[in-house]
Amino acid sequence: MEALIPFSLNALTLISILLMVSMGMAIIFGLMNVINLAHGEFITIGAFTLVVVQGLGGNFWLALIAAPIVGYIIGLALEKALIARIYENPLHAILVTWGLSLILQQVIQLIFGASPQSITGPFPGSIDILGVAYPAYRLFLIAFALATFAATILVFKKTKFGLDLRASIQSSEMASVMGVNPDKINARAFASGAALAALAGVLLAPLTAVTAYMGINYLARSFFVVLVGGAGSISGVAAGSGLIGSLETALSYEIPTTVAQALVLALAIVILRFRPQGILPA
Amino acid sequence: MTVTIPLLSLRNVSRSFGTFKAVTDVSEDFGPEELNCIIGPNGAGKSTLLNMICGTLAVSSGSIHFGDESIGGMSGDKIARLGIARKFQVPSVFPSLSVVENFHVSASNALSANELDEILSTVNLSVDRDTTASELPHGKKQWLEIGMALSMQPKVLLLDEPTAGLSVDETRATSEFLRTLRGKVTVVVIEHDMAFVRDLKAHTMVLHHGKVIASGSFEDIENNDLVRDVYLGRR
Amino acid sequence: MTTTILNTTPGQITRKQKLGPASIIAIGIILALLILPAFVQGYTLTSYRDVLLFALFALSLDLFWGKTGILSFGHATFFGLGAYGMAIMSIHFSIDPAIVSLVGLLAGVGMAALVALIVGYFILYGGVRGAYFTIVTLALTLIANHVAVGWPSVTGGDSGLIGVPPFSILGWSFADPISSYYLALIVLGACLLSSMWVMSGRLGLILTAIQDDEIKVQTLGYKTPLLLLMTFAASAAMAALAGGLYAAGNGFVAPDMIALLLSTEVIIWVAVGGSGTLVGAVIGTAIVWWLQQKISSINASAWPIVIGTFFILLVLVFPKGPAAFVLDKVKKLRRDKEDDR
Repeated sequence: MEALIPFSLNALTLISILLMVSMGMAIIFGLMNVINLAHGEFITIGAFTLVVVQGLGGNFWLALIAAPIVGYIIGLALEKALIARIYENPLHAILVTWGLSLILQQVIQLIFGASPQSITGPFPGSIDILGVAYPAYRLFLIAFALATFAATILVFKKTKFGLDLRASIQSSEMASVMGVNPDKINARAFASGAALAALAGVLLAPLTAVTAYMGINYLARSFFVVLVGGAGSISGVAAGSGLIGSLETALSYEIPTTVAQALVLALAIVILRFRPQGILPA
Repeated sequence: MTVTIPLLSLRNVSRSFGTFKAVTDVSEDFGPEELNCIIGPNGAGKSTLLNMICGTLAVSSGSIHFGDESIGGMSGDKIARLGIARKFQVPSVFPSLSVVENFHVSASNALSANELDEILSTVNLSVDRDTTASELPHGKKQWLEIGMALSMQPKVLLLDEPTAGLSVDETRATSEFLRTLRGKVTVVVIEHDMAFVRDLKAHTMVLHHGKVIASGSFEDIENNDLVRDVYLGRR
Repeated sequence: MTTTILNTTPGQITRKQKLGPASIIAIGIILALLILPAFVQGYTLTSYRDVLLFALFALSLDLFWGKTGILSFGHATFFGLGAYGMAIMSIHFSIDPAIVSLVGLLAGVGMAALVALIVGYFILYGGVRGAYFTIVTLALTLIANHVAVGWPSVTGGDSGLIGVPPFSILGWSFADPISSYYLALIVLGACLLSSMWVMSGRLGLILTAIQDDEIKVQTLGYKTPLLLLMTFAASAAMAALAGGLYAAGNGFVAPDMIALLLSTEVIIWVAVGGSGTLVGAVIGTAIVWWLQQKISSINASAWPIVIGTFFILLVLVFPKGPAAFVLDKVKKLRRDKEDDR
């Protein structure tokens, strides 16, 4: 019983991270059928926003506000300049976003250097939970991710933007007949996905090495979360994160983490064979 | 080709969708000595009948025999392997391959040069042998697809409106080459175009509301009062 | 049915074009490369040998991508499996030196083919095509790289394994630059010509037909997932062959031989030469390698930016590949000139 508490908290931490990094991808993938291979770099951009904000004397909370704005603006600019031209062809989208990813990585590395950046998280201590001491920051991360998830669902269900978005995911033709401007909704959705990824980057930064290449570690996992969960469905992201996050946590108790990650991705491929639509499709 | 082609025979074939009877009690024999034509107004049950012969639809009652084999309710791919090939209304060919290459893909066994030339001249595509399919006009795409069906060396060839969208000259050429298939392969054609059917000199069966109202040579059909009333009379 | 596909000789199919322009170019290139050692020796020759092996790797990708239209973003996995198979067999096991290279090569090639068959089965038979296939194979490289880095006792972890013996078979050693160059050339030439020969036959036609309309090909009675799977496995095996020979030629393996950047680069080699031509993959590799030397000598970190930019240009400016882009321009120029007259 004692061992179960840190295990569930570890699993919840990973699930929260996956939830944060995958929501943006699910929106972009579900709506535009674009597999955004530069998604990881938006996570990196978020983390480096924290680096810059702290370098200028600001604190973590300021970065938490700044990062999604930075992500949104860069995402919007890239959508208008590049992504909008490649919606019809998924392979083209892959090549362009991958090219973008390579350029962003290298530019970030040229500006900030190759060695990991030092940043400070907001909660250094730990908190007692049922007799088990657990890092306070991780508990904050779990709470924040759940709040963001709830907020995203609210936006999806209750706002005009969310309604238009869901209509477009169901059928972009129907939505445009109903007066939804597809160019506008695509641009805003892509930028929102980028903003969510950047937000995830800030949250991840205190737990990982902040380098120009950090995003790539989350790219394949968020892609599989979306595929296993069901493309275009926000509840699917929760299901996918839950499955992949708890499996990976359980496996890493027995085998090296990198091998556990590899195994989980392999398992995701197997799931695809039997449930090509994902667990909870849109 | 000295393969004997078994008789395709339908006995009291019926098909209903819910309470709607699309085809009722159709009995007919199709042999290779004759070209066979099924005519009738829209909704008469022609396509339903064709779908039952090639296994896309199950029969509700009655039986379909191909020689000694009962094929009513057999799966589509099994029927195809018995040598019953079908050409759909919309031509579907491989646009990036040339005419000859399309035949090489569709042929069930590697084609010899002679077999290839024979198919090419049958469907009037000898001069277009190396043309890419996407560049063929619509009519020649139809012929290409008939040729692809022939390259599978079928015993029965089911054609769903092969003249749809063809010009008058192309239609005439089509009936000419279909006539050369008499005796080699059993051809069953669904058609709207009366001039084409007359040209074909086919054994014709008239469907109306799912029932056979007349069957015989085209001349017999033309002189049948009932047929004049429901179909030809309208023209 | 599959056996008749492979047994059909190309001569039966396209009697008129027994020697197309592509095969003439291929034979010309091989002949030119045969006399190269008369002009180049020593270290430079070994780097040319590496280019030949990379060209073999590019050829393997073009065999699948170019012929099926499905892009594999994970081909470095197979190159890496070939390299690591060779290294692990020759370093961790005490195998008779007379056959160790052969065993290593077979192990790597076998592993690659097996992984391709297993992964390919799950995705190709799952109906996964196009972009999904691409992304799943991308993840495959990530997985393989994780394992290569995270299993130091076997793979040497980050630093890799050093001390792979030069390729040798039954006392014949290919240790010096000239013989290892010729080994690479012979393997490349054999793979190139045999791939072109097989693909000019019925299998090549059917794969093109699958790109046009896979359902229709199925209704004609072909088992299309099986054909795609076999092509994928053959392509993976060829990539591993290149990887194994590369490891033996250079004497070491490192995780960057099984990494995403290599998967990315090989796509560019093929795209520059024009995908689907097979011989273009070889030419493209040589061009890009030469460019990389030039650019890296100015600024090493600029290379990934060049690659990234190339991907974007590839889609926006020349979607059919730079080679086709130039050819189209030339054709248009010629047409315009004729119109002027």
